[in-house]
Amino acid sequence: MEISSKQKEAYFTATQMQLVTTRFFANRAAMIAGSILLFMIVISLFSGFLSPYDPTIAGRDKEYENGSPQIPIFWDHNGFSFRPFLHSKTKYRGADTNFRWVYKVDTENRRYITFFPKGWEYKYFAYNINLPGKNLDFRIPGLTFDRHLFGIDSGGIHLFGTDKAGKDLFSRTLNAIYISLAVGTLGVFISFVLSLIIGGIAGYYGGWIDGLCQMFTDAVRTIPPIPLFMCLAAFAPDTWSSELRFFFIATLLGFIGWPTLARRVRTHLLTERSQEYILAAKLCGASSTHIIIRHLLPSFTSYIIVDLVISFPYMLLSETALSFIGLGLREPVNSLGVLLQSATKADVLLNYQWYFLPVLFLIILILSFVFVGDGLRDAADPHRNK
Amino acid sequence: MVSAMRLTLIETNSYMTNLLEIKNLNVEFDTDEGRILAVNNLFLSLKEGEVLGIVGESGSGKSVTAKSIMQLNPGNTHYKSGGEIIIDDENVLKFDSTKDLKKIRGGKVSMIFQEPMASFAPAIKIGHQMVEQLLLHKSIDKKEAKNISIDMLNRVGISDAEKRFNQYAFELSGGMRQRAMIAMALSTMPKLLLADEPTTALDVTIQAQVLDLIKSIVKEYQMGVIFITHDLGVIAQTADYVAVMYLGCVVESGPVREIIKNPKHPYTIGLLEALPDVNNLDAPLKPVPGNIPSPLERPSGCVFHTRCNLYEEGKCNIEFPELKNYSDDHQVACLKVSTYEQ
Amino acid sequence: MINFIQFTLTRAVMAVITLLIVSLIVFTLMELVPGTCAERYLAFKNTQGSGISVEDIEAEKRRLGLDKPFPVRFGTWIKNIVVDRDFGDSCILRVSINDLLKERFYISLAICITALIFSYLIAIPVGIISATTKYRSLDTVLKFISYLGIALPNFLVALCIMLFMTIYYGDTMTGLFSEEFQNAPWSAARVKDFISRAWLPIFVLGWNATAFALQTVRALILDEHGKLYVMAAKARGISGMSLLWRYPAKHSLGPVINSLGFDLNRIFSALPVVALILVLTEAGALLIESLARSNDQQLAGAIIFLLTATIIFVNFVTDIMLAIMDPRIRKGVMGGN
Repeated sequence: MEISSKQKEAYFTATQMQLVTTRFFANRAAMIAGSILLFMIVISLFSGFLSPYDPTIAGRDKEYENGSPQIPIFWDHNGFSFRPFLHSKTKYRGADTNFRWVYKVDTENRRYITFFPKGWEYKYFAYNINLPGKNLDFRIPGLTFDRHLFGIDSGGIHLFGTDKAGKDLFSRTLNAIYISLAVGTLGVFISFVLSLIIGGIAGYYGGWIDGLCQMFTDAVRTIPPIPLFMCLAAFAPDTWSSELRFFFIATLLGFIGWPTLARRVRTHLLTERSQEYILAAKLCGASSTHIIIRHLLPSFTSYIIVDLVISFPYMLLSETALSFIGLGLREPVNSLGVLLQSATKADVLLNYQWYFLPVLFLIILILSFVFVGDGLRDAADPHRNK
Repeated sequence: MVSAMRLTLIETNSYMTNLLEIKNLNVEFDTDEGRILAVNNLFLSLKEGEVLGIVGESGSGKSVTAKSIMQLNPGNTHYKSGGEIIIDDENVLKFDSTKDLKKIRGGKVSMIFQEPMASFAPAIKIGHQMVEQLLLHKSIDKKEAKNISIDMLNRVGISDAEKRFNQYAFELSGGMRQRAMIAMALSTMPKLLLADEPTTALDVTIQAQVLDLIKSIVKEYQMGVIFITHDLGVIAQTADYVAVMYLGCVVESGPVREIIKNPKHPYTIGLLEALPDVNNLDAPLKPVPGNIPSPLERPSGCVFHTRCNLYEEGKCNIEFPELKNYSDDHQVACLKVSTYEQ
Repeated sequence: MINFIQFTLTRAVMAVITLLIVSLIVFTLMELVPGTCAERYLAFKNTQGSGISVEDIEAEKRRLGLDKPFPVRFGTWIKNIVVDRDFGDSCILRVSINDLLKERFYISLAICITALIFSYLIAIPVGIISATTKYRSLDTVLKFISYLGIALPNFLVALCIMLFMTIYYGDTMTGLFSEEFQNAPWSAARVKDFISRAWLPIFVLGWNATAFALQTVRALILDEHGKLYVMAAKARGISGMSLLWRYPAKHSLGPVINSLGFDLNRIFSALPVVALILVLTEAGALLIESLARSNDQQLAGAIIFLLTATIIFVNFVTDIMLAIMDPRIRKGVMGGN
């Protein structure tokens, strides 16, 4: 195997980012997970376009409550069709069926799938913020679209079935992925900022400031997160709007996540602080801010990114757990936790198993984050553990 | 009559059996990048009371050779068939079961390492580890094992041996740790001591003490010692014979005095010339030109040809030089050096 | 020896300080709830039909000691807990918190600690096998299972199990006690009933912990295995089980013991949600009720305080255990050489 001198040259002069990305791309499991993750993020961003129905109560299908999933077919006894279609199902209950719900499939009528139809409106960047006090309310109109990827010419098409109120589970799931990711991102961001501040101060100044910060961080870390979370979340009065609640939950997530991150920031800083190149910069007369920004921060950017990605699934899980209990996001907001809430009743478990489909998405999301995080960690620091 | 007897005596002496004989040793490693040849066609022998020094750069295969004697190489090692390592008339390369290997490891052969701190388990007392080894190899009871161990610690020059026996490795100084490791290695009275760079991590004064210790041990117990190092100076002080290795091959071997005074292989000459001249401290250093090639890119023919000043195109990059006798005991593997057989 | 006593004392002091900070945080949270206990109680009475006046509220406030300044109230609360082991009365339910919590807390503790022990009982051998096996495929399979264990949160596993159980067995697996034993006094039969049902929560709670512990043990053993002293021991003739257990395993125990407190923390954290799904009647479920349904901060605060105090205690004990086991910490500078 001849390694050309050109390739060796490239290896020696590659920047840290290039090395990290190359190592990451070479890790097959991480790449697969990464593409899945990217896919999920994209579909969540385009959730409006992809959902045939409005995920809120406005889009419910009164004819098809608690309906099972409808999969489009290409072929029935009447022959083949390029356009996928569905058969209607009607619910029927009567004395002859012992008053149990029974579905009758109407195999004569075909309802064809339409592509790119107009449907319900969805907005981007439209915010309606109601802060306490009249003067602070403001609206951003945003962009409105109404095209969707697919629809159906008559009746409803519910790929994942519907829930008790008739809301399309497919649309709800897509929307939920978006909301969960958004809350998670915001939470990670907040905890990142907090941990940078506290961990940064502790790590950089050392001494008794460090000691104090350490004690406080450790104390908070000892409290089991979800119970603490629950306690804090209970503070939000029910009167708050969903958006406000959204930000509140995200902030809480950030507040709970910072101890672990702060500790890592502090450790990185402490090791880097005593490295010789910092001493060299100080001897050259560089100011503290300059040292922090130009020298220290870049040195552990890759570690911090890894830590952030690794803490993301934890945020996701915490939000899901909270919403599941009822202390997090609530109806009408969709999040994976909210969707899960309805999945625990006994009759759901027995009869409407499709309520569990969002669970699948949650698992896939978390697994891909975990693998990507691990891949990033191995790429950023391959000598950590053989 | 008398003269005939004397003749027989002399004959028997020169045919005294070798303590260790390595024949045709080929060691390969299975890695993600392919099979790497670490040791190529090695022949070595050692008698009782002899110190053989193996010298070479990192990557030359000297450690791998020593570890092969006890089969200590990692799991992806292949010992090519046909190779033999003979101790006491047994080919230890064929040993498969742990029971057989136990005879060798710590029994007939002991090894000391470069990093004494790292070779003692950090959380177990030194005495405990020494006793454990003795109990494995000798049928004695615990009390006797303890006595032997403390006695051994004394002999290597550790003061207050009884106290040290109950201490942990981190409580001893560097030099003492090295001595303790030697004591532990010798407590089972092995026939062969493998010393893998034992003085590299020590400072010069302690280095001298440890070398003296090894020399006195060799004299007292008539052990064979294989001393692995990259430091020619140490070899000159301690060894009787030296083998110079490069990229898995022995390129030159012979008595120490002879090799140092009269080196024949270009690599050995280069190594000796690279040493600073004590008479002319301002002279520029003359390193061996070039870099050791990666084991994945073994040069064809003579492995040294890429860095050799005697390189002859068409000969050195095609033919593989065998170790041949240059004079009694002095062997060279070079196509450009005239030997007995050429 | 002196070193050791010094070490223990320092750790004890630090534990107490941490506990104080935590109790301050918890108490502050309790106090931040809008409306004092007096007002809320009387509002509750109001809904029952009896009229109240401002004087009644004031009288109630004085009775509960709510008119005293913050530090005094904090101090009294702490004193009551430490000296009398009394958490006071629940604001909403008007019963002594101690009565509510006592049995439930011990049950929660039992379940969680058992889960922790079981998780390590499984993780240590499996982790060692995974790290030292010659068959790489076995290692890969085990690694994948541990990834699943980490990624699937406890409550999801609980949900899935519930799904299966309900489909196949009907709704009988929930709860810690069957009907007849719910409030009965302790007896051998009750214990048996408890054990036959408790395995499910223990399994679910331990799920995550086992996966984490497995990964940790595996990484530690791999790390130690490559170290020189293991090869040196091999070179002395030590082999097999002895080589495995006495050398790398013994030295890897340190970080494992260190993480026990944190593992318990995670299990406690997962408890409320699992308790909700599996319909367990113990402290975790009580916590949810008190927060989500009735906004009873006194009760919630007491529960959180108890949980955290347990963790602090466990951390203290593991620190001491570590010092006993690792001579480097014991003999040298605090924190090892």
